Amino acid sequence: MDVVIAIARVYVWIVVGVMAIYALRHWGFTWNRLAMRQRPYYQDLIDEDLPGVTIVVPMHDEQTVVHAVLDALIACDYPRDRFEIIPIDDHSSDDTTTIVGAYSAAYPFIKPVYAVGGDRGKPAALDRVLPLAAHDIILVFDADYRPGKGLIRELVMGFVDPEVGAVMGRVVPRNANENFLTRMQAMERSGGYQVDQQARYNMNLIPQYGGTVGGFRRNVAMELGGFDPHALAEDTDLTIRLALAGWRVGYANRAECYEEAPAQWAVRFRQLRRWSRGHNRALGTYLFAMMRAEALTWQQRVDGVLLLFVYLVPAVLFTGFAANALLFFAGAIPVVPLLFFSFFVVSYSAFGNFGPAFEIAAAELLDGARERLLLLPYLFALFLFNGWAVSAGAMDAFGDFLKGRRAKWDRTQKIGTPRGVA
Amino acid sequence: LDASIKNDQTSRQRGVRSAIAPHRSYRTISVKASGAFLTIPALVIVEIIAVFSVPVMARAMAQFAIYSAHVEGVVARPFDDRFGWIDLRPMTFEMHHDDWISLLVTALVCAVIVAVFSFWQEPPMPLRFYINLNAMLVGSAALYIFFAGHLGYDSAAFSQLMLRTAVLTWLTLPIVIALFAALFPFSWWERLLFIGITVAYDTPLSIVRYAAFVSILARTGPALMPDLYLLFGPLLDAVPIITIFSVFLVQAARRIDRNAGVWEWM
Repeated sequence: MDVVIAIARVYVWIVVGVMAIYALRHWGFTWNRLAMRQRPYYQDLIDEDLPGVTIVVPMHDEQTVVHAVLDALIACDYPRDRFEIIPIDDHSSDDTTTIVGAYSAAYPFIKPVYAVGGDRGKPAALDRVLPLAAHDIILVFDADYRPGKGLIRELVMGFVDPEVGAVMGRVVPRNANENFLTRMQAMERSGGYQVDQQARYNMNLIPQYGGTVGGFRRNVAMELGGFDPHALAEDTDLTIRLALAGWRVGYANRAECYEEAPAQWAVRFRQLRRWSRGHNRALGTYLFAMMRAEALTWQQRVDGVLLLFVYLVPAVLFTGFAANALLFFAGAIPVVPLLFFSFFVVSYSAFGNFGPAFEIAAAELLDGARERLLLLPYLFALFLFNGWAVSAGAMDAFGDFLKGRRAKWDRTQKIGTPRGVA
Repeated sequence: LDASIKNDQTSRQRGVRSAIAPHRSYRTISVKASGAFLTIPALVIVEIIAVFSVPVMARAMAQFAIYSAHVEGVVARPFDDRFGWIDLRPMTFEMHHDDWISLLVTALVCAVIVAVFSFWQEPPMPLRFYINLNAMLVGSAALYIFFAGHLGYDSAAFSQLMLRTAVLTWLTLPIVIALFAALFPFSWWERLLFIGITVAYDTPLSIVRYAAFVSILARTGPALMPDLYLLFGPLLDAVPIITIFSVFLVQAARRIDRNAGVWEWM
């Protein structure tokens, strides 16, 4: 029993050490965003020749949202002769196919791809479209997103820089006021983009390509092997592969796009679990390559490793809690690490983009969302929920690794607004 | 009209980038390292006050719990415990004794609660998870006592643990809060108040909570002890920090909104 207690004590200290490293990292990001010189995106290059762009919208049973995203893309101010839209109808069983067909008949630059066999899911759909795209720059939007008029132009400008392999815009939930859950997600998103992504971009670290409201160079993606149809986090996968190959990810904070955040707990739980499963799979695949990457500076390697571990941290916290419980049963709980442990639990309750409370506070302050600042303590209510969802995903990834099984894509359910109602 | 011309001239003089408030994506706030360093004297002042007042606060905590136990008819016997430079005065107190049947019943009830809230989808998930975590802690503690005979902490050790935890919280809390405060555009007074108020708030919280724990354990027995300490102990201290933090931030945000010049282009 003494050995078990000793191991548990050491483990609790390790957990506190890991959390302290992340606290320092995010404290640095917040300081950088609030107090240091900011690095603008390429938005000032308004006179540059606009390159051709292929806009890809993967869809599976999206009849409630497909009108909105296609209407928004049609209304964008990008020259019509320099872009095409490829809606990928991924095995839909509702009216998505019919709706997409009608749009294609009306607008010749909409060139749908219908997937009727083979693998399902977003990575498979993207892999399918790579050889079909007419342009080298590919932008991706999920079907529930509503890009603004100037968004395509803003995102595409980043590719003027020949070192940029992918770009990422800012995701903003448009249904933030729907309920408690969507409000909390809006806050997580703010912290993740307004502070975290911008700071990583400022510091020349590795901003994350998020799989939507962003894009990549087609040829580079193909050179890197395309998309694994069984990856659940194809965005993390591509971000890391680009970084390892020496490409940079540009972050456009001004390029805001509006999404429908999950409004039901069960839907959000499945989404987080899928992200975690995919991200942890990427951790297993790329950890050692990231640690040894010659194309990266030591700061980028450290940030890359911490980025890969992000979705494992809730599981580490949970096991730390279990170790504390065991030590309490045995009458050997160490008080100092427990105090810091409690502090980390409360401040790291926003795992969506892994923004601690002060990072989210800084984002809301920058956004001018004064009233939302009072919601900060409620993030604690999400601790167990987010922690459990992410830990379940981590366990799934571990199971995948042990059994050699392939993950099945689980689409996030969207409600949308029927046409003519909004 | 004159005023608008004057404003236009002012705008021209200031230049477009200064005259137009930046979109949120281009904003920065003028947080300066020199401002952040002001947190250090504020922290030092609060720490000095804390170091000198902790013995009094710890004594108040012990006395209140002894008094509360006395009022409730719980037999309590204080004893001396020197912790650094502080006399803590923890106590032994009579706890409800659980026989093996009540321990098994407790574990069974907790298992049923976990099962019910795992399958009953109606309540929001965070609430279900929180109830389940409490039930799992209580149930596993009951089983541990059933098999091992007792928990690692008796009433005296628990009392000692609570007092030591409170003392360490009061001494470390200002450092954590200072790290928060250093990031934001607070004035020196706000930094001092923010750090001071969190410690001041935590003192009555710790005192009342300790007395409440003694009262609960005296009635229900030790199976609740891990749950009380791990979920309603230091964890509960951290929640008000964020609450007080958010209130101070709203004040800072109001000031920023009143003075548009605070917003700077990135």
